[in-house]
Amino acid sequence: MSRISIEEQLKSGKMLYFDGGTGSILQENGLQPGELPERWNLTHADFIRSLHENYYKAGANIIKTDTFGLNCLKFAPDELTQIVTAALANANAARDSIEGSDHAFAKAPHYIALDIGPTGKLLKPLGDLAFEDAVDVFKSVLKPASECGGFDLVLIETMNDVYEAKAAVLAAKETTDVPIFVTTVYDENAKLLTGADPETCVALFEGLGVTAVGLNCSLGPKQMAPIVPRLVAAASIPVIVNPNAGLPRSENGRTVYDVDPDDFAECMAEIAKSGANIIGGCCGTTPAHIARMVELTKDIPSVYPEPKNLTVITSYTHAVYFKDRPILIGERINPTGKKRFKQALRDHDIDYILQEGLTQQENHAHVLDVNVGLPEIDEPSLICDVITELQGVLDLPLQIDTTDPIALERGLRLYNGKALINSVNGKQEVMDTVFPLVKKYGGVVVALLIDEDGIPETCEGRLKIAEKLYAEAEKYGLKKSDLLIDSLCMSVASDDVAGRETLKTVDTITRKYHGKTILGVSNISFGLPHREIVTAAFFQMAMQAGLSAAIINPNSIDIQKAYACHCMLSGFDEKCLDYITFATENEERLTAGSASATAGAASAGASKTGVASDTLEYFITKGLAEPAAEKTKAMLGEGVDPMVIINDHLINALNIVGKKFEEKTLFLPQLLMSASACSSAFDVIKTHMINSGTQQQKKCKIILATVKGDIHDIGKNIVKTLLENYGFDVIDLGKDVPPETVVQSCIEHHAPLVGLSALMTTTVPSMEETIKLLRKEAPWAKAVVGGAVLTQEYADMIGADKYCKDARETVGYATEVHEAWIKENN
Amino acid sequence: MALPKTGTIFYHHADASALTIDLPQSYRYMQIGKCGPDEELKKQIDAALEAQLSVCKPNAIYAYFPLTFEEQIGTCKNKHYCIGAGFSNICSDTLYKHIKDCDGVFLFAATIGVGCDRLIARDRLKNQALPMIHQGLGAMLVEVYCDLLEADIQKMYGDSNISFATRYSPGYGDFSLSHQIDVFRFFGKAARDIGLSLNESLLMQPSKSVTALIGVKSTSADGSSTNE
Repeated sequence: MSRISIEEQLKSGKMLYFDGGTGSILQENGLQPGELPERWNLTHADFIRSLHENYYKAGANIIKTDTFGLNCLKFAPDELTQIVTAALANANAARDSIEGSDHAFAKAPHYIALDIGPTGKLLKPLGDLAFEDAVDVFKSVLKPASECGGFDLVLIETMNDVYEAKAAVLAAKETTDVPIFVTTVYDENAKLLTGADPETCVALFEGLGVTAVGLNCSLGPKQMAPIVPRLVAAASIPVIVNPNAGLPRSENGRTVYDVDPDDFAECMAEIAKSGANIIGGCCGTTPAHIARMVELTKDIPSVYPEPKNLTVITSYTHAVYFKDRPILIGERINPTGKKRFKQALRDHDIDYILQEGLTQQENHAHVLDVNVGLPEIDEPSLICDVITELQGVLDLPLQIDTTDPIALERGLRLYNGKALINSVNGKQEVMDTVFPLVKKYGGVVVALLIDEDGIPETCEGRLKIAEKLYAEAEKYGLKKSDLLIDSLCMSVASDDVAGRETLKTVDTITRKYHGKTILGVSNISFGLPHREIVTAAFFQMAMQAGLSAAIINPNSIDIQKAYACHCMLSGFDEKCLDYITFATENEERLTAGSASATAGAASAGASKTGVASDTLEYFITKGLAEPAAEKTKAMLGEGVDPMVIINDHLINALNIVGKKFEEKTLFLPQLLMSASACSSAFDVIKTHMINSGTQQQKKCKIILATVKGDIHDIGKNIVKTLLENYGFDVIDLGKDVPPETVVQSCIEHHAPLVGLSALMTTTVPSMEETIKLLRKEAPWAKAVVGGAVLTQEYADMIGADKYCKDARETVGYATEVHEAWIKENN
Repeated sequence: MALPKTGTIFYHHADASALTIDLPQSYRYMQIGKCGPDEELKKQIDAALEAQLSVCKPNAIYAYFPLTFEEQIGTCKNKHYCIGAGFSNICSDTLYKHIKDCDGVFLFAATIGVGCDRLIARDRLKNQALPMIHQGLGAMLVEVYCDLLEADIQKMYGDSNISFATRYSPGYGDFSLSHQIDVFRFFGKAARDIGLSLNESLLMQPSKSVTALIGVKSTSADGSSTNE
């Protein structure tokens, strides 16, 4: 039987109906605890067919195959293929049966959704499943299903992590052409367990090009009802609502669900009226629930959503809209003009980069630009590392900033959200490369007004390129709202009218084209003295011209002042609360009038706050990071030799703290606060030495890793901090590190010492394997082990050279190894 | 209320505000001695607790199983007792000692969500003491959530004829951690529903999660255990 596509059906104005629960019905009919329901496609095929048919008879238009938990993590490939084939056969048999019958719903449109549930694993960095591995897990069912055929759409459902859902969507896009529907699970606070809100889910999945988006499971219809209008308000695609019949509870020893078919249907009628387009049920709902729901809602029209034309990007928790209030994009994760940052990139010093991100977030950046391009660096690989780590610690949306298309695609794929992309321009070759990536992965793209002929001098010339960009984007199905036009501001020092033409372009794009704009505002002041004054003034003028977003240094007090005042005076700051917060947080800097001061971890002022004693030792022993950094800066300013600061002050302070720790008059958190204060001082010294072109004398190299299978790294990080404080050159390989990586790194750096950490008994074998490989491939290296589960006995058993019970002891052992190493090498 | 049907999975949820904060317990996890934290450290702990509570999402699942005990060697090498608990056959003398008077168990899996793990990852950039502080607070929060869950189960199913043993987790004594595989196989989708998973090293993710058994002892009118 030929049927119209589900996409056309969605535009027909009629409500579409999903079926209801499967697992809960199977349980009622004998599915045993721990038994995999997907096997019923083979063992109870008649029951599954009849369940599907009963849903069609109840009025459902879309049935879900019994494949929710089917994937290669649970099933061997042969069995998986057998089950998916049987599941599709069962669904098709049910459809053939209803359509060949004289049932009242025989002529209704009937569709089959290939049902895809979560993997059951948490993705990295919170869990151990790598993003690309997750894509492959989903493909393990999508590929055989596609080869088999017989489904009209893919339903990715019950997702409580948008990252996992993104992996599933990409897997579906790369294996089949059918429409993709996605539903996620919200709690009563309208958040996924991993933190995303409804607006984030809509923006992210719409960006990925799915056909419909919505929610299912966990809540009953009453609790879901308040979330539906939020989805409807944000979405330009149809909204799906598949609630539970409440949560199971015990009543006289039986499992019952709260919501009966009548109550369920009444709530669903309200949900339908609030703008849902596809409704059905999840756990606990039965053909009776669906039949009653269809009966009560059949006359409620389904209004296909209007395009919302929102310019929106997301992280994995929240969405950022480009509307009237300008958005601040922090520019500090970028090597241009920053020696210290370049050094961090070369050293793969990810922590330094993360620290830059954290400081910008604390200074109220809304988005972080990420640019790690250096000629001598493998940019695709590094951008993936930096994005992975940044999204592991910060929840701000990222702007992926690269001219390397491979780095861009890998970054977009891996990014946990809908990214801002920097950039495309009017050159045909660039448009041909970038726009398809925006279409595939979703995103808002910065569009630079430059083409093969360069940057036009006048506003009119730039507008022509803007028109070309809008038209070309449309060919890929992208909308004007998916572009942020960057009029490109050149230095006013080299062109008197540079500022004026740029502002005119911003104004015209905003008011005539109703487009969104962005500027890297600091270019305007290039080559001028006291650049911050010019940059801030231009920033203010650009905002006045309608600028939607600015790429700025959020740590600059002048930028912060301009932004706080603009937002307040333009009516974007209710009761002036943001301005008051800004003024209060920056009281000291504002009164001091330090126009060039920057905020952040090392802000000025704290060193002159009248602390009882102002020695560096005092600040370190008290664990006061900012005063320690300021004191170090002051000492360097007075001409004190950096090595004197390290050896006579920092190490001395650490020894005092260490002794107190051993005497148990001070505890581990205090030891760590001191270590952090010491790290702040070290960072000042490191920056000073890089800027003055001198090399810091370091002790020997030490490789550190938490072994494969173990994701606990607190202990390992403590050891790292202390070792660095004592001047060791630590190469931190992170957590869950395979033996081969540890050994390879040891060989590469010819390190005399490798430190391995494990928390669980189950990961000690992995430690043993690492040591064995180390003995074979890098016999010169000593292995020191530690971690909650380790004992001297264990350490001896696995062949370690040394067991250290804590970080202090590790420093002692590392010093011994270092001294022996010096002797050998002299 | 009568004990629930064998193997039926139930969900439990609490607001973070319902948890009874036990700071001294968290100090122990942070390895802070009896004199407690100094003023500077206390300030950091208070701020960390506030951050934790704002992202803490306590959720649990549980099910009831009747118990059988067998003195068995067979597959249970070196262990005297095999405990049949519906979801798994457990060979463990220490668990046997703990629940030998019981005739059923509640199996539960509880978590406070990914918030604590995220804070540990983020705040290590601020200060190396903070991961340790979050670690201690998270461990305390999941334990007090387990206390609340236990209390709720006791309230729901306990009466004058039913008493409960304290909770006992895989990994304690000779109750092997490998039983986590059985626990997760049994809970299946329900574990996913509360965002809980088990990795190949048998670690639960999110890390601040607990699985455990709570023994249930039914007594006859004369006070004797029905299992005797």
